[in-house]
Amino acid sequence: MNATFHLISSGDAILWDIVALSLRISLSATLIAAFFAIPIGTALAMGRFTGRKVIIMFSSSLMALPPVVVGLAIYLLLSRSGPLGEYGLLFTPTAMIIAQSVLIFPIILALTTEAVSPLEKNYRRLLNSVDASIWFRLKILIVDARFSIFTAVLAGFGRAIAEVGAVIIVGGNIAGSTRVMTTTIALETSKGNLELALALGIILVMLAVGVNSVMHIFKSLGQKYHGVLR
Amino acid sequence: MELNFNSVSFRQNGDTLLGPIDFKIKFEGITNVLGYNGAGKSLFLELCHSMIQPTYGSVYWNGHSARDTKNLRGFIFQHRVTLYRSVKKNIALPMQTAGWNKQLIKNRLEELLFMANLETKSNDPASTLSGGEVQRMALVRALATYPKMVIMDEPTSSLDPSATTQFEDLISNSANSGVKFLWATHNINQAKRFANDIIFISDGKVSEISEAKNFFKKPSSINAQNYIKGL
Repeated sequence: MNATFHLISSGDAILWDIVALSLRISLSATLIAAFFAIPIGTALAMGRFTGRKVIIMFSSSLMALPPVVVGLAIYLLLSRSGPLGEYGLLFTPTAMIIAQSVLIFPIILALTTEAVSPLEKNYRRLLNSVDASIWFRLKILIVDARFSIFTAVLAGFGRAIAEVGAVIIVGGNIAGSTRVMTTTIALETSKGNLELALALGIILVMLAVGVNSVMHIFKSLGQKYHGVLR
Repeated sequence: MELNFNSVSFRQNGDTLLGPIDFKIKFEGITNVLGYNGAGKSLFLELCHSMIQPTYGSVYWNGHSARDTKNLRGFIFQHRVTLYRSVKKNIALPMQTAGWNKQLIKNRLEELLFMANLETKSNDPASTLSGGEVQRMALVRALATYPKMVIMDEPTSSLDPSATTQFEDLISNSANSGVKFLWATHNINQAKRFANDIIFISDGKVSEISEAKNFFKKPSSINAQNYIKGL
């Protein structure tokens, strides 16, 4: 255990490079997924069209997508013989960002829809009475549900940073290039190098606990203030 | 200002909730909408405003489609309907949707907060206001963009007498400055004091439109007679 803590406290370059790459990939994937999922999730909460419930149910069920299957699908897309093979993205951090984005998009989408729906129900008649445009409604709902939406984004980030199945397939676990915390833990454990695996495990757990704590803080802030803007 | 209902019906889940309604009315000052609970007053008001669209027929204001002239009318709900925002951001809502610039909104907000006697509460969350304050806020919000008509759905039904008086004073001042009101109420005395005209709704239809003094003296329908007698 001493060797493990020494690795963390001494600022070991290999360890912290892996942590930095993991954060860069998962934060990028979270931002990309959130960019699409937040407006689409809000629009789904606003929409009154046939089939809306089916779409919401379908998007919620996508939350349970098996990561290895997502990884396999992205692999087939990006492999040399695949439709996007010419871009040479397989076994790069970009491929890992794509895989994680696909994986967490349904999570942020479903949680955003769930967060915005009750607010939209409260606001609908008032916004109808002032003839608010669709863009105005989208904006006001996202701003006023921001605490809950941020919680949804954090949930997506939490899933991305802890994910191993998809990124190992499309990233290839190449040292110094696509090796992230989860894939390194898997590899180093199988090699018997438990110090590095444990050090990364501790950092990963701390990150997960940190993200969950922030989620709870934002959740209670949202409940307490209903996001009141002064 | 003229309102025209042209063969208007509203249906939901196969049931006709309102209509068919055909009438034309020219508004003078305050027009009260009366009728028993469940008669269709709220639906009628929402159709007048164009918050909802008729299943059949058309609603016209001064010869123009109600849908195209929605921003010329304000609306006040019976219950507390606010954004989870401060008082001033609630009042600013129609000005924002109308695309006013920040300076214009700021100037108009000062007038409206003064009018509603809410200057000291402008930064408070709207959720902390009392029932009377919420309805005064709703009234100045409805008046924010200088609408020609404000439609109100029983706005004083949950207010105490003092809050009702304050709200009524605001209505009188606005009516004196030329704003027309279409106002659903169950309070016969209130209608007697304020109404120029009465629209009586019964069983989802407009059963009577007349000058207030004539309506209260001699309502033409049995339903209206019973309603006035409190039966």
